[in-house]
Formats: sequence, C-alpha cells, structure tokens
Amino acid sequence: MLFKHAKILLCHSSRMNVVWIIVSCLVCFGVCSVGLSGNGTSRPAVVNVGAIFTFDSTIGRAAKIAIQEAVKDVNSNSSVLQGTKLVVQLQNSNCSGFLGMVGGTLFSVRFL
Amino acid sequence: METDVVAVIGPQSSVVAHTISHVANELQVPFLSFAATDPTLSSLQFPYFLRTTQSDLHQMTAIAEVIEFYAWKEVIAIFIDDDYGRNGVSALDDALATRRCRISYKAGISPGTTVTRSDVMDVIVKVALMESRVIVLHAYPTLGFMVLSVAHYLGMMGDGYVWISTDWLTTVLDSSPPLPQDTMDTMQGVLVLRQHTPDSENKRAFSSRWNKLTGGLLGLNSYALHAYDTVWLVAHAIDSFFNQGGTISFSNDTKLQSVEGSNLHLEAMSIFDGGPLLLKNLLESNFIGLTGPFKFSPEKSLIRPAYDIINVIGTGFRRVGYWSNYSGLSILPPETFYSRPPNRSSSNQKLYSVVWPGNNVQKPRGWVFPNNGKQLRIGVPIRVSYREFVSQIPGTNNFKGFCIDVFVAAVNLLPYAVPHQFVPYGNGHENPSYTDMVRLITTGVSLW
Repeated sequence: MLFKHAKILLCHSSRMNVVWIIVSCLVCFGVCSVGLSGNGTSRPAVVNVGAIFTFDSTIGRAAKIAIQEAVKDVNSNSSVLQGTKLVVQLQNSNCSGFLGMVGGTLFSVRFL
Repeated sequence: METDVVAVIGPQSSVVAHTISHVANELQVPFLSFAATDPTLSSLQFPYFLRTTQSDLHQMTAIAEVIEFYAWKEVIAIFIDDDYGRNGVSALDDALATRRCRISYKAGISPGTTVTRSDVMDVIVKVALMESRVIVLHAYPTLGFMVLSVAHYLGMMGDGYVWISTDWLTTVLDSSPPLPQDTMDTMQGVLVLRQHTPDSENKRAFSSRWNKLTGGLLGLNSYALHAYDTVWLVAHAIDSFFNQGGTISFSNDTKLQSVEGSNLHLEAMSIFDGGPLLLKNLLESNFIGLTGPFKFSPEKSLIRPAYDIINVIGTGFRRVGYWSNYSGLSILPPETFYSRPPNRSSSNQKLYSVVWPGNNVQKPRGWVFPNNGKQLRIGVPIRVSYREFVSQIPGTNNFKGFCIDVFVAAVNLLPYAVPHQFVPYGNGHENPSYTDMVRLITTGVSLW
C-alpha cells in the first residue's frame, strides 16, 4: 500500500520535477531575452544607405564596383554589424548641376 | 517614406554637393562624398557633408609648392568655370600668395555641354599671348583633353612651356586602357598629381581582386579606393551608433507641411532622428582602410593629405616624387616621414628630374616677353649744356651721346631683348629739372 502510495508519489513528484524544470527554463529564457533587448535595443535586420554618383563617368564606373565589393565584404564580416545586413541603394546622378539638383531632390523624396 | 536611408554615399560632383547639402542639413542625413573635392564644401555651412577623400585645398598647396620649388613667380590658370574649378583656382591663388607668387591670368571655360573646340581655341589663344609660360590646368576629362589638344595644335606643348594638371588626368590614366598615341602626344612633359594612397598588403590584394573582377579592362583609381573605404566608414559608424543605443526613426518635417498640393509629395520627406548621433560616430571613426589610416581631423577632413607627382613621358607616365602636408616634396613615400619630426626646410625638398614639354630636361624659364606687353619707356632730358652726354638728333625722336652709347652697349650684353622707347622731356631752352621729371613720373602724368 505504502509502496503503491510511494510509487504514485514518485510519479507525481517526477511530473512535478518536469514541470518545475520547464517552468524554470521558461523563466530563464524570459530573463535572457529581456537581457538581450535591454542591452542597446534590438538591432534591425537591415540598415539602408543610399549612394548617388554618375555611373557613366571615369570615377563612377570604378566607384560602383568598389562600393559593391565593399558591401559584400562588410556583410560577410562577422565583427562589424553582426546580424544586420547593410544595403546600399545606388542612384545615378548627372554632372549637370540642374539635373543633379532635380535628381538629388527626387532621390531625397524617394529615399529619405 | 519608401526606404529608411540613414546616410548617403556621394555625391560625386562638387556642383551637385552644393545643392544637395541643403537637403542633408535639413533632414539630418550625413552625405559622405568620396569624390567632391571643392575646398568650399568643408565650410561650416554644410555640417552634414563629410568628405571621404582629400580636398583640393591640399592639391593646390602641393602645386604651389612645386611652383615655388622651381622658382617660378607667375602662373596662368586654365579651369572649368563651375564650383569645382573656380574654388580650386581660388585655393591655388591663396596658396601661391603665401609663397609670394601669383596667378597672372585666369582663363575660365564654360562648363556647359555645348562648348566647342573653337570656344576653347579663343581662350587658349589669349593664353598664348601672355607673359607666363607656366600653366595650371584644372578641369574634367572631356574639357581637359580638348584643352590639351588645342594647345598642342597651337604649338603650346613645346619647348619653354610648363603644364601642371590636377588629378582629373591621372584618374583617366589609371582607369583606362593605354590611350592612343595621338592623345599621349598632346600631353608630353605634363606634370600631374594623384591622391596618394600608401602601399599595403590589403591594397595589393584588392588590386588583384579588382583585376580579376574587371578582366583588366578597368583600372583601379584612387577615387574607387576612397569609395570602398567610405562603405566601411559607414558600417563602422552605424555599428557604434547601435552600440550607443541609437535607433532608426524618422520624424515629419513641420517646415514642409505648408508645401502641399504638389505632385512631388515633399511632405513625405522626414528628418532622421538619429542623424546627430550618427554624424558624431562618423567623425570619431578610426580604422585602417585601403587608402591608409582613415580618420577625420578636427576640421572634418581626412588626415595625412598626400599626393603623387607624375610626369607624362612617352607612352606612359613616371612618378617623380611625392608631396605631403607633413613633409613637403620628397622622393621617398610620405609614410617614411610620419614617425620623424617634420622638416619643411627648402633644402629638404626633393624631386627626381622631370622631362619637360618639348623633350626638354632643362627647367624652363617660365616666362617670355608678351606680344601685348609694354615697352620700357625711358625719359631723356633735352639738355642745353653738356650735350655730349645726351642730346636729341634734330628732326627725329632719336638720341645720341655718351649715356645712350653706354645704355645700348649694356642692353646688347643681355641674353634677351629689351624693347624700349626714348621719351624726350624739356623745352629745349634751359636744362629741365630732374626733380620735376621724377615727380611727373610718380604722379603718372604722361610725358608726351
């Protein structure tokens, strides 16, 4: 009888143990996640940067490739902007002051 | 708004930078230009404009030091008359003035797309009539090559001329495949500058990666290196920005609320709340990039300005030295001097020998008597006594006498001509007063 009781008690207590473990784990996770976000707010997954220059120029042709390579390097580097993807939106401008101003303003309206 | 951009890389053109900076200031979004070199963009008027390349202020200082090194006094500036060209020449003016030299003639050419070869010819012909033979060319590639071609046609790329070009030319020489020989012929002996980037393993590795990417069709130029480092600057700064608790959020600009009913939807433009913090992080950035140590000075410009000095000869070009803000002109790379105390004494300035236009290895004198110049006017008293010393030949404007003989003999010994004219003074009845004559000269009264 006692043994039966003991058995039932043991079953109960192991279940309690499991529940206890689960509850304590949840609490731990809760604490951990609060800790993560409390440390400098959660970073966005993507951060957007614009780029405006003249694609079809001596400087622009080379700059375009250089910028694209740099973005690849930044995103594959784990020590800088870990967990956040840098996206550079390229926009073509024109050496003409008027077109540059118009293009630049429209670019600002679209991107900023 | 469509995409939450927190910074902008660019613009490339200094002209565009002037107009866009007002947008940057208002919306608090940093603009990081890797190619706008107009010195006036460093002004306090543009707090959200950061230049991630060297300003032409330093390039013009370098050119002024080269001119001082070769002991020329007057130069002519041919430039494209827009913000970039005009302000660059203004910086050159200041740099030369501190070295007691000057720009004797400024030839601005319109930046419009309709400039023709004959417009350029009109400008260059006037330059050919000037006294100075040292010419500084500050333009963009299309106009620059046209100027050189016209100058070559007019025989101004030959003996006696000195041409110094800013780095628009090296950008093309570095990036393009070898230029046709006709084009190279129009720029023989030209001295050009290029923004200096120290040699490093990273730079060499990037260079070979570049060659694989472009298949050797596009060369690497210094602006591309600065563009690459600008992306890393942004990445580091945004990283620090997040570490300091910065968040990406935007607020409506109340000033734009009144601009309604327009299809442009200007009221959609918003101010980046994190702008000031991101700007602070950008200015405090410090890392080693492909262009060397990347850091801003308190004046918001990149540290360690330095330029390569290149001489165009034959089918290519050759480096004759370096200039840096720290050590001046040298034949060793500027990096060798940063660990030593600065030595800017004139005896320490060195460059390798240059092959000047006209395949000349002798340093050109740098000036000639101009076609439109003034003759040396010599006042001669019409004496009554001691006429053996000087007297007018009756009925002519010529003079004879001992003084005239000595003068003519001295002029004949000079290695150059002295065009002169004698101007008589006096009434012929009594000896004129020398005091009166000198007084008339100082007050500018004509003796005719």
